[in-house]
Amino acid sequence: MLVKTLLIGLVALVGYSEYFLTGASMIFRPIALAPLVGIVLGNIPEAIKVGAAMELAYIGVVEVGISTPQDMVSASVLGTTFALSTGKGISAALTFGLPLSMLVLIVQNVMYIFVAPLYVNKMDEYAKKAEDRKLSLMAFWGGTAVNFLPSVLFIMLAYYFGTGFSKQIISVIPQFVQDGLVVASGLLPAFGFALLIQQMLRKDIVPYMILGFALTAYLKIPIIGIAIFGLVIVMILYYNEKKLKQQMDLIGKGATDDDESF
Amino acid sequence: MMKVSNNEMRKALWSTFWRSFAANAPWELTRQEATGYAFSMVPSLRVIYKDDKNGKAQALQRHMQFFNITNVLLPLVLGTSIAMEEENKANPDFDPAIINNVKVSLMGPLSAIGDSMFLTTWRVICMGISLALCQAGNILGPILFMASYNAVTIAVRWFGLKIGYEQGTKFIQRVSDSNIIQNISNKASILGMMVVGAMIPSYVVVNSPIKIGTGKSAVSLVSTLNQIVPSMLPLAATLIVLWMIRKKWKVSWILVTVVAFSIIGTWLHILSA
Repeated sequence: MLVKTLLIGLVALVGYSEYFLTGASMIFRPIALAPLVGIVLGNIPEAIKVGAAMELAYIGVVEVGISTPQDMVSASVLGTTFALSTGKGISAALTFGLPLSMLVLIVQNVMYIFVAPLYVNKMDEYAKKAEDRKLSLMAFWGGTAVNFLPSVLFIMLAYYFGTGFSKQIISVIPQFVQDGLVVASGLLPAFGFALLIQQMLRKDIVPYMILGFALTAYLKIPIIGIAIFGLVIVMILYYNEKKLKQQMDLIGKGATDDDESF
Repeated sequence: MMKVSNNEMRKALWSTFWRSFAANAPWELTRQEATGYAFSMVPSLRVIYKDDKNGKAQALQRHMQFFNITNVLLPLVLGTSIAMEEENKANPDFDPAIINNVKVSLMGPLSAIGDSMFLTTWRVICMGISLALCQAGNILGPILFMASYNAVTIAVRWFGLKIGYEQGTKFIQRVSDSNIIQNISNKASILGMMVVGAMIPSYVVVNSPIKIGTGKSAVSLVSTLNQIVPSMLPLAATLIVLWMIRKKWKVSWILVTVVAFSIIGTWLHILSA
């Protein structure tokens, strides 16, 4: 159990490397983290399935600018561990993942507000003295320790103390609530897609959404097929615009030639 | 007149490139990515201000000022800053205030494009093509997702740094004049919209145990609706949530509403898994 807890902590650390080492590589998404949890707990195929279901439920969670709507790492790691330990799948992943990740978000905000200014002040000091080596060390190690280690510890504690209780907790929750959460996992992608549509929405590209919908709803074309159709449309648009531009240039040229000949 | 050797600078650019991956480690509320920006600039500033401690101190302080951008496009801005720092060192008449002015002016537009192109559109396309494998429990699914997403973003990072450094602000000027980025982003969102539209019938699941009629002639409500328009309920659910967003409901409230609706609906036997 102790070894597993350490390994779960390692997986969480890999998840937070999204910020401190792998440069927004999407390693913190459930689709990527759940399989790693699966390796630790020895059930990879099931973990991948839970990861896919969570990815859909959280698909609309995007870190735009400074707003972090949800801590994806704890939601993914704890969601997967409890889904596997209770055998309840996505229902358990949401039951435990949602509230616990909200607690982690609070922990992070406390660190950002009260502790982060300490290393920023140090960095200011080093910048003034041109001590670039110390500044780098403070940025990387100070930042990582303050911003991410507390969350990693929280995840390890939640795993260590939670796994034993998770079965009892879930047996207290009424069956219709558990079924309701499975229903919610089917509905949450609608919430995610709506957020995505809202972000991309311009009137002139609405037809493409309808086209994508109709192609799968009526013809059952898999997503890769849709992406190929989309690519073809984009290429056609691109070449047409290019041709149009050439013709416009030609007309423009012709017009000036006419002007000159008069 | 270049004071630093090309070889030395190339090494420094590599270091800056690698450091940009760790730029969000010291992220902080008041100055956000500024700390990571200074951190990423260090290798290049070390080379440029090799013999000039005062110049280096000023440059480091300059890059500790507020900054924030989509991480994928950070190297592009770093490249322009490095080019300008070189200019600043070589040319005593250069006004270093321009360096930060350029950064600030790039921050907004590049973030808007970066967020919608990478964090939304490209991520969703990669996810869409790997999800079927994931749902079958195939390890290739997650690998395909990570590989396809990062192949593109790492290339953008590397060429961003290179172009930013070699062409300085000229490139960005030219690009913003000719609307190239706007055009690419428009095309990408067409592709993204098609994929999102296609994912609605595949991945939004709304089921109901309600039957119309009684006894043997009873038909389920869902299959009746699907005969009118297939996947009508998933589409309706998406449009209702979209309507809530457009009505400026708070996102967390929409989330709570969806979960509560699911649980209450199940309890009333209107919805089923």
